[in-house]
Amino acid sequence: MAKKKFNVDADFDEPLNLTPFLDVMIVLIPFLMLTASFFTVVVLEAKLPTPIPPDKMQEVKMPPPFDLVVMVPKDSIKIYVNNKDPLGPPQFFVDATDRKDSSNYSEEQILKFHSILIEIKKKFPTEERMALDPHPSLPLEKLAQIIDQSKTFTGTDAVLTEIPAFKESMRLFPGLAMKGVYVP
Amino acid sequence: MSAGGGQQVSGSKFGRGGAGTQKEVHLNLTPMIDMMTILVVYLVMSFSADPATLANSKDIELSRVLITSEKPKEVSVISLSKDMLLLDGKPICPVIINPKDGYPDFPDSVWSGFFIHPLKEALDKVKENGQAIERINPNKPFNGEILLHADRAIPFATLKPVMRSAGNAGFRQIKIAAKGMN
Repeated sequence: MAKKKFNVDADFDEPLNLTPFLDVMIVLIPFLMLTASFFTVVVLEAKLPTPIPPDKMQEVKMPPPFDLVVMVPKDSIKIYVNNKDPLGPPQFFVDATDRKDSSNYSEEQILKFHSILIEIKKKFPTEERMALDPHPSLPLEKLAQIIDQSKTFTGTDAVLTEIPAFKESMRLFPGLAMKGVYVP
Repeated sequence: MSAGGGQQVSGSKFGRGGAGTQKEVHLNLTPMIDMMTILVVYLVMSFSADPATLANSKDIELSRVLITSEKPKEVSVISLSKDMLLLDGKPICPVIINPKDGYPDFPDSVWSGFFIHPLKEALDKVKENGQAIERINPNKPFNGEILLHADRAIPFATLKPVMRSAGNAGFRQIKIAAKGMN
């Protein structure tokens, strides 16, 4: 046996047995393909409202100089800018009645919402704050779509991209805070 | 990858060579092995150890977004499916259906009307650990960041107590995981 092991000339003629290697590969590839995820996971920031310390309460201006509120019932998106009457009609409105029971908005609806935010940003280029007030029944995907469209600017708006205050950041309203999730 | 690669199929009779003609046919496995090796390397690389992928579950279908491209960091993950609430893969409490409104909800035994107690307690421990790490290594500060990995159909009413519990435990920077479609 030992003699055969060291017989170099005889060993060269034997082909490499690939069967165990192929067996392992055939098990490994389906396992990895089933467990792997082929999409990119991204994260959307949802800040919670921060309580104002008592010693800074006097510095708070009431009403705030800029107040953008996005109210999201199941069937629409209502946008209020510096609205004095919180129960009054919104300045901007996206109808989503056809998506009332759907978990997401159509591309058309979400692009309309984005274009409304661009119009607001043109008037208030230095403002970054936005309060989001979702209805309790609103599914997470709709909420995620709204957060996604509110923060970063996409598109080619000649007027907006010429505003120096906006040019640097290219962001719409990144200071988004969730209403109704007050944490003491 | 071209080691060996010849598997012998001996004694096979191919073609119309007639009786008695025997050919030794060698099956060339080299291209197949090359392809498999590349595939395995690619799959192992894509099988990354980022927290969002590790917490990925068949019960959770993520929301789809168009613009955002921010990648998740290595932080604790709250997973919320239609059946279970988990923190870093460990079960916290079951999710039940509220008979009043039909929304997914949490059992009364864990729910105080404001916080989900087991979640807050577990997050308090995570925060303590994070602050202990910060004391030892100031380069790794505790920044109160947490990843919320929830199903896209979960209503805001169910998310609210989770966010509130996280916020009360000191995790005010809540990051919602989603599928990037850009």
